[in-house]
Amino acid sequence: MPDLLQLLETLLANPWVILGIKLSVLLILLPATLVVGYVELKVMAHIQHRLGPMYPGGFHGWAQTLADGIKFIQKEDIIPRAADRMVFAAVPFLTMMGAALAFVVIPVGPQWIIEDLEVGIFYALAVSSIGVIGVLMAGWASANKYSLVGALRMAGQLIAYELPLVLAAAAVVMQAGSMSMVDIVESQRPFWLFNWPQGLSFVIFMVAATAEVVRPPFDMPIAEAEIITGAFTEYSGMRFAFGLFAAEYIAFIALSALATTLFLGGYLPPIPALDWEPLRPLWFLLKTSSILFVLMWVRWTYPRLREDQLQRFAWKVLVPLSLANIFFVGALKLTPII
Amino acid sequence: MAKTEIVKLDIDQTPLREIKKTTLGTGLLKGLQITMRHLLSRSVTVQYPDEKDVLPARSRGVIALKEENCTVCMLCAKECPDWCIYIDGHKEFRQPAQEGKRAKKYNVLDRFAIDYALCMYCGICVEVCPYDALFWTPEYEYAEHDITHLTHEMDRLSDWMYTVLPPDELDPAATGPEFKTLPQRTAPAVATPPASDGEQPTPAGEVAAPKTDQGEPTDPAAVPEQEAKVTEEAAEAIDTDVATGEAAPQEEAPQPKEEAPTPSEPQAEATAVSEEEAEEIGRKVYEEEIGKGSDPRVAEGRRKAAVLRARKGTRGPGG
Repeated sequence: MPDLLQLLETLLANPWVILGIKLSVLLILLPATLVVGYVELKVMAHIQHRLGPMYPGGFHGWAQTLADGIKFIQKEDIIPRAADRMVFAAVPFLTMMGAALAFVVIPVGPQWIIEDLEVGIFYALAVSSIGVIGVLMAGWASANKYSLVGALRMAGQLIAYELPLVLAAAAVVMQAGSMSMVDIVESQRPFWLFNWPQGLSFVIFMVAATAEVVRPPFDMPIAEAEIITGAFTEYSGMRFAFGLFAAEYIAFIALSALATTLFLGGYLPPIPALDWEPLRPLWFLLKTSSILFVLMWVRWTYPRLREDQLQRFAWKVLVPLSLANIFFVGALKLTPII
Repeated sequence: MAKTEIVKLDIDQTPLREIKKTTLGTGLLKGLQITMRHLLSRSVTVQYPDEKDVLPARSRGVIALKEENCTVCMLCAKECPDWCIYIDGHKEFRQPAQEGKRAKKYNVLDRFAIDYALCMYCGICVEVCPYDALFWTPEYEYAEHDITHLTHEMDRLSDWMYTVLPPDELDPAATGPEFKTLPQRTAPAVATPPASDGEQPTPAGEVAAPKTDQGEPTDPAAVPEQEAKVTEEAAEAIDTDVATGEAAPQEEAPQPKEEAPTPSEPQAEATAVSEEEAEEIGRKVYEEEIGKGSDPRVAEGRRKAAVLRARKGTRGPGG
């Protein structure tokens, strides 16, 4: 065993190996959106007593999302005459990039991280908000009232829920005493599976994150029944697939990975005895998948709220709660518990 | 005053108060619990082209026509809200049985078609038919590339008859249909109006008619009122005295009797054949149908009908 670990250490000292790992993280995380999309189809179907896709690919329709992607590529690319073409076309890049950039600081293992920035969590929360600029651009560039209403709802929602999200993360930063993602994970060593002093922060973070990625019950900005997919009403084909679907699922995975890192001990195993370097990515993946599943479960359970209910909940419940939570964690910080 | 008090009591006992008492957030958890239970239970999907559901006998798939029961009365065509039933017919005269009597006139069906592109499957035609010539069958696979092919003519509508199922068993708690029990008639006096018109009354109730074709024993509960009931052969013979005389209500099965005791039997091949010969005839009919490219179910139905006809020694309906 020590030989193997030694070998691993020498391997990780090689910059090319590191580059390979970093590339693989990117190449695994992005196709993961297809997998998550497929799992979501299946979870939704079974909650509704259906089977979901069964044909594409032969076995239980595993290739459904892949086939959807191919279909989107083949579709006609329509830009409305009144639209601002350059801004309209730039939107999918922005929404995708904002979501994908967060993966840079997510530690799949202590070495399995693209860049362990010292301001890791700050960076992650900052880049995940870039997407809303893309949505606002889409709303104004489309020359469509539904798009504009959707974009403004999106902006309002982001302002309302960014605050509790950041305050919940701030409580974790207080506990860890660092903004580096690896440091945050390591600070949870005494708690392993669940960082219980941050229980309230966890709940606030998950609710705010659901609103942040615009998933039900907080999906008013893209509510199909009211404003026809909001800012993306005029988008079609590949622009629609990347601008809305891919961006949504990448952000979804990114925020689940963030929650895993902040509250569930990231790559740490559930019990200390299993702490073995090569297995760490596995623990990380397991925890992230569970969070993804719970969020899907929530999505297909609750109906969409109303826009005013959404705002009231954010400002009157979540923000005061997260401020109280900061005092609570600060008080705990004075005790030897954390 | 007293009224107000009662109202107050009612409000006190409304379940709304119970809802108020529950802890904040339990509703959310309950919702999650319900969706999880549904997630873990088996899905109800039938993967259609690969697997097919067994539809209940009363499913409204397509309407079948029992051609020989139709009297061209046009009730179905008149009642159809979509006007999707097309009927053509003409009158023919039957030679009187005795010298000097008037020739009986009767209707002959020339065309009966249902346009399923228009049909809304309300089933009014089936319900309104007084002689049980229309039946629901559970078949549903008759989509077409050409809309004109959705108009099923008499031959296709008659083929559907082979797919009519016997009705489901009654629910154990059901009391079942009630039948009038008539006093035993001794004198062969009363004539049956449909028979005297030369029309062919149904031998059985609406549900029992398809069974007659397939020779299945009929549920005694399905035997309808007996007053107008005559055997098919008797009706052909139009001798009204004979028809009513031999009608022994209650006990008699709706199926035509083995040797129809009609003295003036007009049919040509009225001789019963042996079991083997009947089977042989059935096989021939089956091969012929398959050779014509009919649906195997239709061919099988025609074979059964031919065997029964041969056994009974009658030409049978449509024969």
